[in-house]
Amino acid sequence: MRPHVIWAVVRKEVAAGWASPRFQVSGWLIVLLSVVVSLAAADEYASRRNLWKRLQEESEKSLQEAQTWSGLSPLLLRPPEPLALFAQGFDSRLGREVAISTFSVPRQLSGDYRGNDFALHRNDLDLTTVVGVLLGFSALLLAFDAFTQERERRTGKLLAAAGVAPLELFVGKYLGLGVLLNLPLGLAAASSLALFARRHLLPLDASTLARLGGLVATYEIYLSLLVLLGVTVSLVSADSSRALSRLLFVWLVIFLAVPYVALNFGRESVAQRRLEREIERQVAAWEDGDLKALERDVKQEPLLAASSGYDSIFQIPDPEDRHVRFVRYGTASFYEATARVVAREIERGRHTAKRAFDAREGVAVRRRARERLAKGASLLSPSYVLDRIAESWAGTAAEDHDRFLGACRSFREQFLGHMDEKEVVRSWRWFTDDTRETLRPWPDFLDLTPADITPENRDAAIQLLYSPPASTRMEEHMERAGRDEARRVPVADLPRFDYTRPAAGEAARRSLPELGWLLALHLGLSAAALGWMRPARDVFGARA
Amino acid sequence: MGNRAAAVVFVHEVRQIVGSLRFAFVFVALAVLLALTALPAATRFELEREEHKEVARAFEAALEAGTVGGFTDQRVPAVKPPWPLLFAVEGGQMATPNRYYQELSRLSLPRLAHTEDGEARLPAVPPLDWMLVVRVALSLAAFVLCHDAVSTEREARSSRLVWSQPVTRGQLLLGKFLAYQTCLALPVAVGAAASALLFSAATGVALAPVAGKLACVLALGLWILAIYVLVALWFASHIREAATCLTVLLFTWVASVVVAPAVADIAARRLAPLPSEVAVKRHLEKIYDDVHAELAGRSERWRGKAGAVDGFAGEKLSLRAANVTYTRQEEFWRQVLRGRLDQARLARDLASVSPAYLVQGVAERLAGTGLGREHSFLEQVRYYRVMLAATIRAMDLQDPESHHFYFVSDYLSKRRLPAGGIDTFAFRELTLCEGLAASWRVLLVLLGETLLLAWATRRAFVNQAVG
Repeated sequence: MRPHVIWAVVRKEVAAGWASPRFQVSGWLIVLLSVVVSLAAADEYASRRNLWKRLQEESEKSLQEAQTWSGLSPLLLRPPEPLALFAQGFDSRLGREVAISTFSVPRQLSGDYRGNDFALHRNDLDLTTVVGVLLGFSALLLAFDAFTQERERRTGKLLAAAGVAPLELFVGKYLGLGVLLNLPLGLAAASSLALFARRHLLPLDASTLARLGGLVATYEIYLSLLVLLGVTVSLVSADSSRALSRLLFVWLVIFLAVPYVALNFGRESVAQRRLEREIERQVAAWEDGDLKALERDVKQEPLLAASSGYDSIFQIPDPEDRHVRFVRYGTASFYEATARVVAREIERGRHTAKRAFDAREGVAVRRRARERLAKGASLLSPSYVLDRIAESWAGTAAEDHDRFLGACRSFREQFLGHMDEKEVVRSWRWFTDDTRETLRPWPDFLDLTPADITPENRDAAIQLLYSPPASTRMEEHMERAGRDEARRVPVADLPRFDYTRPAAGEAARRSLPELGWLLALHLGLSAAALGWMRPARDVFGARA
Repeated sequence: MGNRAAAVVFVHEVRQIVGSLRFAFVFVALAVLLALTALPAATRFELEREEHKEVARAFEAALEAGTVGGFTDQRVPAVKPPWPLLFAVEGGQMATPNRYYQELSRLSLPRLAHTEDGEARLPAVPPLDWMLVVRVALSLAAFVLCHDAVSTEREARSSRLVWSQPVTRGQLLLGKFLAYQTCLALPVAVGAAASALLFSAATGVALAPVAGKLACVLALGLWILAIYVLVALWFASHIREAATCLTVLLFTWVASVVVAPAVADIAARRLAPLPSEVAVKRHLEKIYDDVHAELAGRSERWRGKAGAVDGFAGEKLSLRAANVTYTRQEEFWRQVLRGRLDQARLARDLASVSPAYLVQGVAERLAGTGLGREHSFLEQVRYYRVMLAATIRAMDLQDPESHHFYFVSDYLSKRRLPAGGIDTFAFRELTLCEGLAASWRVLLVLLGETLLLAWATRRAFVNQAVG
């Protein structure tokens, strides 16, 4: 192989391709669409980031204002991934937050960044889509007649006469088309980067730059594969029309149809959903069992089983979570009894939470197996593989989501450990902001003692409590207590959730199998092309 | 004589097309893809049907032990039934909310939910239905088959011979057009029939009641096929080289199938932006604060029986505040929902620049799916709430012990709900006539485009240079 010959072919391909209407139309279309898609992606990301910041502020505020430990539920928010600007992946789909609770182990995130439920496309357009679909298509449209046009225009004879070897021509055309396609790719990527950097959406740290580098390298490998495919098909086809038709079939069946069909089939199954529903019934039965046990414990405590002047008439149940309690204006003995019952409830609840988590994970294993089959079949499609690798680099893959969930579970353990260290589970502070020093049983507002209240006169006493002057005194006390910071849960030493994105190295390691597959496809196509370029074959169509 | 000539051309063209390897690939690819649409659709249909039954069962169980007053705190579900034409024109049904929960009490706003859960770790792909196959595969198939309709004769030098025969160019074009249309319609018909039968067999759903809608969707598919064939013939008449012709057709395809909907969606988000989740939450909170500020902290007084001490004066004030707050919040929430529907509608209207998406829109309207179904669902659940409120009110009024505070559970009747006293939500699907009424204008536009294209193609074919 002679480098100067290859270089001459490269220059000729670039010059001819640059001047061709095909390249001009596709190139500008790609750049234009990239800018439009990037503008939209930037807006979406900015609004997600703002939402995330606001939710964080609100979460912090509600932590600071918590009055009981049962009401303390740190909200862990998954930060929107900056590189989702290039590959949305699962970033907007799988939820963004989880509230840490003693009674459940995090398995799914709630809330999402999906946007409009009724929209045509739900936040799934990004630069990777433009590269995968448009640039990939353009690669095929530029490469399909690499060899066939030499035959059709009879320039093959000239090349054969000039002593150009088929392999030199092949490599020259492949490299020339690669250089050509890098022009719109470079322009698209540069304009997107400039847009994001100008709006300060991208942190330009080493990890982000490394990931960006990985992303661009992936785009290059993908484009290279498509150019190789186009040139190889052109090599083996009799004419341009046939070459293009063949490429279209390959593109339609392998690039599009295979992943569409496989992923549609892999999505869900009736049997799986029935299993999941069965598990949910089982979990509900365990939780009902815990509730019944709680009711039995309550019946065994005289101060909890019957109303009197010793209990609290001020109870705020949380409709969203039956475990969150807030009571006030009870007596020390009432609170002691409640603490005993609540401690047992929490122990049962933690055990049930673990059982429920294990049961659900057990069922999810089957679902994952089915999904792996669908993903495996889809790997036939290079555009699908490109999307997966891009997601790994961008940190928007399903594995990144699961990594975040894993971090949430670890934090929950730390949080529970912190509460155990502080021994809050067996203390009053779990359910009331009253202390021994600030105790004020409700009969006190009527200038009575708890012992003065009997089951017979309790209703009348409560009626009096709701009338002035008792009701006014109680409302004033409630207002003062609400403002009293000493009644808040001390959160200064609470463990803080700190989540960092996986390092670029981990992203690289994760995408190695798919990258290896793309390179294997390269090798396969190259071997096929080399096999076709046997001496006996008339690659240039020089013979009449 | 003219018809015979066109028929001869038709038969000749059909023989040529059917005898080619390309057609074999196209036939198999289209028929298989169309047939495959049935299976994931059937799975989804079954899932939603089971979910629907579960929700109904849970609701009935909750009603059994319920009281009239307690019902006001009950989250009442309204479920959009599974769409029987998922395999033909999915219309976004797999992704849009299919459940609506509302309470009569003023404590919480309605909530939308959908069957799709947060467990799936698969990338999002468009659902496989006839319209997707028509948009993506059928268009490509038409372009691949038809792009060399004219150039093959030029290249074989047979065009002069053909033009010298007693057959007009118009008849020649007609023969070619009918040949391509027929050959491509065959795999569509076979695939569609297989798909319908498979779906019906897998789900047990009788398709006879929706046969009219199915026939309309199939007819639309064949209509857009005719447009694709005409487009291909138009370009083939203008561009001498087959490969160049196909390249141009492919750019048209990319613009129509990929670029147009993407840009339309982005444009719609810019032209009709939606308030952020935080903005919505803050506005709702502001409504609450404004209403309760007027009452200077005297609202939210629910003292139970103890309130009788002053004739429930505090409760009456609180009830007024709750009702005003709820009405304003609900109105705002509906406004946000309408905004979402409007944005989605705008995106679809903008995407209708592409004939493929114009036909998609018509198919959705005719079949009674898409945004029309969403809108109808939201209207019907609203009416359902009015009915529920009237039913509970009537039951409560019969109890003299009730304080008749609508709708605060502790102040309403404690009597048990009578068996079968509460109607469950029954969604009424849009009829074909309603679909026609909603789409006749767009159908006229499509007809106009088709006739214009047919005229332009005929003109281009007739005026092309012989060789």
